[in-house]
Amino acid sequence: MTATESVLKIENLSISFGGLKAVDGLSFSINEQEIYGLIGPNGAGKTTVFNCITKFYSPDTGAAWFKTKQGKDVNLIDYRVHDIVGLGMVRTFQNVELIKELSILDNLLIGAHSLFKHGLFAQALRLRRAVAEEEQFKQKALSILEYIGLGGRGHELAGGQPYGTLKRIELGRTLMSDPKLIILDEPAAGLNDTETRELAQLIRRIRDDYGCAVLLVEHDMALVMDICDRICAISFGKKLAEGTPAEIRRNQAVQEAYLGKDD
Amino acid sequence: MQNKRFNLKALLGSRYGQYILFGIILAVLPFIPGMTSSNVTMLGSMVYFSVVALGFQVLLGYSGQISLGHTAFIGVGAYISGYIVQVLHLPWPLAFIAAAVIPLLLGLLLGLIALRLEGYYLAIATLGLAESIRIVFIEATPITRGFSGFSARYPILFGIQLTKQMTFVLMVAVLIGLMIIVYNFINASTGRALAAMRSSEAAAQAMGISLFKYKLMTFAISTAFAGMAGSLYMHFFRYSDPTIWNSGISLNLVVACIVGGMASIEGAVLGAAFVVLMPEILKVVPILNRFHGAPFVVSGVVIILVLLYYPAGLIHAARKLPAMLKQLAGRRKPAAERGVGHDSH
Amino acid sequence: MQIFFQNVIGGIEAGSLYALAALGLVLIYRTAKMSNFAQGTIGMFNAYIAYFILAKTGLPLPVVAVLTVLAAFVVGAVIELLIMRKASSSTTMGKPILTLGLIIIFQGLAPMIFGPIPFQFPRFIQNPAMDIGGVKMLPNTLFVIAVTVVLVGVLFYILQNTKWGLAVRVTAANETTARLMGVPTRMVSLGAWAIATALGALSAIMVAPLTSVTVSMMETIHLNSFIAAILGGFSTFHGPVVGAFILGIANNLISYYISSKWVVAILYSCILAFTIFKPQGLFGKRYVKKV
Repeated sequence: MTATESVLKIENLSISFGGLKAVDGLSFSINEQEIYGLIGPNGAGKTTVFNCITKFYSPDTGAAWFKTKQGKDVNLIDYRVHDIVGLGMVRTFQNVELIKELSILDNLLIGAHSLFKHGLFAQALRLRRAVAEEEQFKQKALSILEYIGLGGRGHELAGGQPYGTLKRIELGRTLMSDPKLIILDEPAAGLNDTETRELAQLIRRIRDDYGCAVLLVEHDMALVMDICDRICAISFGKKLAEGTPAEIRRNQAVQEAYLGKDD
Repeated sequence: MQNKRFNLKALLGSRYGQYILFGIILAVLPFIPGMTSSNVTMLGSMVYFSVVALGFQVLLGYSGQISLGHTAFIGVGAYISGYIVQVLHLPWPLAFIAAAVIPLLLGLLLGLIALRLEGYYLAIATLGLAESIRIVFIEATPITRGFSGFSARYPILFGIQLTKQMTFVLMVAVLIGLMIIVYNFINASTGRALAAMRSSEAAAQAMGISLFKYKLMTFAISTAFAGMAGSLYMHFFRYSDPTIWNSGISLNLVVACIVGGMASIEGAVLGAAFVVLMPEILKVVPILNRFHGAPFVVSGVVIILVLLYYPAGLIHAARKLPAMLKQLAGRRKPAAERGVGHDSH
Repeated sequence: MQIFFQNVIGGIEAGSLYALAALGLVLIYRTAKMSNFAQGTIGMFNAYIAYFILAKTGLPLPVVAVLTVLAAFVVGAVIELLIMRKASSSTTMGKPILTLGLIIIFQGLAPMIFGPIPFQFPRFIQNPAMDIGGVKMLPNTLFVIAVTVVLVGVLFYILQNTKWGLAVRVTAANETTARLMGVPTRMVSLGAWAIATALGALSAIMVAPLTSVTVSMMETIHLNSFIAAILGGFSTFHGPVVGAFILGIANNLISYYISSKWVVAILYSCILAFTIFKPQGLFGKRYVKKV
């Protein structure tokens, strides 16, 4: 059973900014096809963890072992930020980073950037192989648009779409890269209850249909408790507890550090 | 008559068709009766500068980097091309290729160094480089003949000695070919990567776009275009000396892209036309033509006004025209398809 | 050895001119987060103003200089009020490009107002060269160096020890926070433009006797002040000044001992190569970028 194998294994990750330890010896692992939640109070270092494993920051110590979509075990720390997506790990951003002046379809195609094989020269001369490649990914984008409920709207500009739609486009863009692990930074932020429920369904569907794991940082406890298989709670960069939603809910330390205050 | 109009419409429907039609109209201009030689020179100036501006648009408009030294790369292309044809007696096409490749390599080398610097350091580094290269133009007299100037002839193509008018047609052909090439890669994954980079560098990186690779690539494209334009310059104007390659040209490139319209192929060409033609037009404006430097003041004011109040540039205004005409004809197009040079085909 | 010192003194004189201009650049760079590519051209324009005042009034040169500095304050303030302030909401890409527009305007304005003929401009001190231990030196050279040292000293004192200096430094560190804390950041950027323009004007009227007053008179100074600022690092106020003196001296020594023809090419290549190893310049600091 592959589902119990870990796809990402964080070991003893630490980073500090000017003496302040933002992440302090953090370890956790995510299994294949698992939806894993990372929670913690504001400033707990959640997004910093994201930025470390996606190499926007270089951690001071620690390792992030990742099983790539090519089937190799690599330490993400050895890679550059733009190499990460090619390995099979793709992220979204807290404040949706789409390109407003491009169409929805083009925004999705950017998600497949790491898969394009033919370069500038072939594109400039519109060599048949480049045209075919473009067409192939366009078809893929169209089917993903259908999948995320935006079928037939690919030609619309991304700018000016409602927030819920933007979140869907961003999710669709992650799917374009054939990911093994999708990292979502506060996917429910700015969404209303209905939109959040729809998003939860979509995330679960993506996991089932695409067979990938999902790591999410989230403030919306309802969403986290609803869709996560396991949760890791952190505070001041350190792990407080790890377990199923039920276990986390019962955990004394978590209640004190986070839930208690929040409610 | 009816049939002819229909064909025109179909042709205007695709960007390729528009470019080719534009090229044909341009290429015919020198052969219109009554067209003086100095007018052809002016048109040639416009076309050669359009080639540079097109490459510069890839750098400034599409990849968001600024150089203030591109005049040097035009000069390098000009001297290389002149030297290969006039001294080594090799055919012009070869010279043209060399005039593209050598600035391209120079651009790669400079980019490797200067792109590691932050922000506007690139602009200053290119400014310094341009000055250094100008000194090479002055001092490397065996190749450039220094201030005495380097003279060349109209190109010989397939054994045919071109005339001034034919050279102009050749320049137009190069321009249209390059416009199509840029259009192709801008409307492919390269163009999308550049758009992503302009929008958010972090998001672009997360999508697997190497900022350094694309910055370097666009820098090299722009220097290669400058070199090609230099080759055209050398064999159209048939003369080059170090005073020509001053920083004014580099500045005009920035003006062309901004006034014409950033991140737009047609904008670069329109902007180049503005930069070249505006001083000529001002020469015949009463009162203004009595002042030295008036063209500078006008183009400086225009660039500031455009930047402050009309950042989309002149092409945006020009684009509205056909849309308005189409609306009059009752044929509407969704806004997305008219995009800012990003319509995908 | 005399020749060596002769070159060093000459280098310090040139370095002074670069230093004044570089300080102007860095003032605007730090307060408005932008490169002012028009500094040299505006300096050139102010040199024309100086010449105009001199020719029309015949006032003594120091008075002319003071009047020119005042005129430069006005020019700088007008630019800030009329153009830069309007652009403050636009992208950082846009603001330096606006200064390219300014270059073009002032390049046109100067011949438009003052005519296309170059003017000769007198030295501040006309006395012939003195001989100090075998090193020949114009009193004017010493004057230029002295003026620069005093001005730079006063400016640094103001920056470090006065309320206004603190306002400038706070704005330089973080404009938004500074504004929220009640620092009059608009006044600061207005002041920065006025002072920077005045520094450029001073640099221009001191270089004018060497080059005569022409449209292109500031090109070399301007480029060198930029290169000096890169060499010293844009993130401090003193870095560019030190960079300017290094550049001036190195320029003369390379010119004399290696090649007078290739000096600029050699110097710029060396500095570019240096920045590979230290992209922040001699005194620059590196910051961690936040995503």
